[in-house]
Amino acid sequence: MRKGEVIFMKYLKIEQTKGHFMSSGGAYLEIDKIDKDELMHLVNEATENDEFEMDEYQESDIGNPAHKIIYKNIYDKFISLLQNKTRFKDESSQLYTRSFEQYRSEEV
Amino acid sequence: MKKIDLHIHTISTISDATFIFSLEKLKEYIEAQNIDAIAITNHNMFNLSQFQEIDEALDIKVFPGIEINLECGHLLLISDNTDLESFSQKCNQVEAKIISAEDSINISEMNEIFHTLNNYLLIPHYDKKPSLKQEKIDELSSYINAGEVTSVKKFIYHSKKNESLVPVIFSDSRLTDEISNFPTRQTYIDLQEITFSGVKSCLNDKNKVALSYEGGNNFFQATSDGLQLSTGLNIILGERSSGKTFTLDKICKDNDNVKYIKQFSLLQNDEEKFNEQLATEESRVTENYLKNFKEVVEKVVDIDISEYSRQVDGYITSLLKFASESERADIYSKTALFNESKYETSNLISLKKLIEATTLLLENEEYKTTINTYIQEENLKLLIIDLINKIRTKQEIILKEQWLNDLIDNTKRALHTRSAQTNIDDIDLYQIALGHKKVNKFNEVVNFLKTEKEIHRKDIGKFKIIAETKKYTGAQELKNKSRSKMSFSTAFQNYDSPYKFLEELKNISQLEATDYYKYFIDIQYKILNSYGYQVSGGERSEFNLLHEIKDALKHDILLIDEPESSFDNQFLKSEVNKLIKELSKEIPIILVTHNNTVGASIQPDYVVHTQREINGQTVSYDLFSGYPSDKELKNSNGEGINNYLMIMNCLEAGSETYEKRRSDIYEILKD
Repeated sequence: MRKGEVIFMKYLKIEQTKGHFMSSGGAYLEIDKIDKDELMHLVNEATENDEFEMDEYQESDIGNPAHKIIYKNIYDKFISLLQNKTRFKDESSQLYTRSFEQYRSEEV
Repeated sequence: MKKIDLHIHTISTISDATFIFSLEKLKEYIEAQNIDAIAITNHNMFNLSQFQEIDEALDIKVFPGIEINLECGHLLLISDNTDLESFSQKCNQVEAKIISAEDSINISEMNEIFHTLNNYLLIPHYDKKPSLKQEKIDELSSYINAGEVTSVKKFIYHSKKNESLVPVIFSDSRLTDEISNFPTRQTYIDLQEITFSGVKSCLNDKNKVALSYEGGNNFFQATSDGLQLSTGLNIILGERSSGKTFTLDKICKDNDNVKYIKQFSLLQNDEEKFNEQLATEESRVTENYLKNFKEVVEKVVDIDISEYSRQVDGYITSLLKFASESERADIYSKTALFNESKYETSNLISLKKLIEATTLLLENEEYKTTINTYIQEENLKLLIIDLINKIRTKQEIILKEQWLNDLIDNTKRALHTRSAQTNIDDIDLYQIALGHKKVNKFNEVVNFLKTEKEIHRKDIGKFKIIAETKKYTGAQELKNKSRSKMSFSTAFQNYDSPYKFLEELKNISQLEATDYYKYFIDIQYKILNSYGYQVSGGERSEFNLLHEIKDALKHDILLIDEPESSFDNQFLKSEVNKLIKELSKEIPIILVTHNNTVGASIQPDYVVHTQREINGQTVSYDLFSGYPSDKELKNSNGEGINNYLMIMNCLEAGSETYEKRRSDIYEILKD
């Protein structure tokens, strides 16, 4: 999808009554194939790319009941993540703030 | 000679416990102790109107002063009386800067406030807490010559040591209506008339300060009612009930940090009690030896191997069932997440330690030059930034993993409830393997620890203290160790399998987890005499005395009441006398004795004779003192008694008996 100059990538989409995800290999795969490493790939994309998009979950759009479970769980969780994309970075950059600021500025 | 006390508090500040100053008590104190000059030195403040009130009420010289929290130590700053208004304003500036008792000002701030420090008398806490650091004293060396100490022992130590400041000792008192014993801590200065410049010049010269009026540093005031004693070895003699112990008690009450070895306290014939006392005294050795093992136990105590076995059994059963039920596979069980394991999140310990170590290298001032000879500071800064970036990246991954574990868990649970197929249990095999490794290592460590060996040896006089590790040989010994009624019989059955033994200790509900480490190996102490044998009952008392006397060096005064109550003469003469004489070079000793071996052969520096006076219903004690070579000992009223007769009466049951014994018995024996 094109919005002005920014290309929005759809990482979760529903097509032909099945859930799909954008895999780390760059291809869309059915959602029942998703494992923890692919989930990690999605988390990284969601937190680092501004163009992260998902098809909204509608129960009636998906026929496969296993796809429903997985898609809904992932969709709900990622919706909350997108509302605060910087949460992991913010929390980890609180480590050693004093030393970091002190020596980084001296170094400069 | 003039007697001065330049450290007196009259106002309760944030740095003091609450007290209500009594001007009347201050007057009594000055009169009773014959003090010629004082300074009012409250914490970080100067109250001009109160100072003027005190100054008017007293006939002696009163100097204005302030005790300043300086560079985390304390310093007395004392002024002359010429411009009190200006001094008061300066002190107000100090007061404004000290908001809490922990605050302090630095040297440049003090300089800014008081300008010409040369005009004042500066006396830091020296051998006294909180002391001003040596580097700060060096910085102020043009203005500081004297330093405050807390005891006679420390005063003598610094007066003999060339590089030390001129020691002074002051009361640091807070005089209230409740005070009954006045402090004995004052300093004599060699001065005809008290003036500010005169006091200042005396405090520049060790030869012009002293602990006593006439005797220099060889004497000090031991009690608030004026008893002067030698800073070396003093002997108190007197008949029964003549006030010897009373005098010791009074000295003990009027001085700080006193070691008091009371009469008969060393008689210790009960072997078990003796061993117990010894073990307590040596608990430092035990704690030290088992310190690392304690940490090992803490790391193993939460590992539950039987729970691990249950988890592995459950995992294998579910795995086999999942395989056998392949025909029941459905759309839920065929999803990748159905049997997905969770992320096992790593920890950041090694990175944290590296960052701490690099910070230490960067922030250490003492060895900065050495460190930078090998590692340039620039590189250390680059390193620490790099390490912090690494730990932050790793932390970010951990947070993501935790977040995803939550998602995986919820999804799996939803899939499992709908599927007809058994799901495979998710277990943390890494943690289980690590737990087993730790338990194996623990067993190895304990078996090594159980090798019986000597772990500590110390000589005290002719005795040797030896600490040895010993395996427990029965449940009763464990019970004794716990000093409780808990039963250790089941636990002891597993004593040879350390981990199982630990599991059994955990089953004893009243046993504190922090004490488990004590039950794997016992540490026993024994005292051997010079022949290498276990000590006898009498030798145990001897050992106790030597031990106690050695311990006295941590104190400022040593009081011993009748050591002969516990010992034979040979020991007193050969060991105790020698040790006491040696020790009296370091610390004032006051010894009460009846025994001629101690009394006559120890060659004291000073002798006090006590006499009881009964006037109707009231009993008072009179003290006569002098050098051992004096013909007469004198009391505070100048009355004298014959020294020789007194010694004969106290030590030899009178001169007649002594002469008779000498001629009738000793001479016969000699022939």
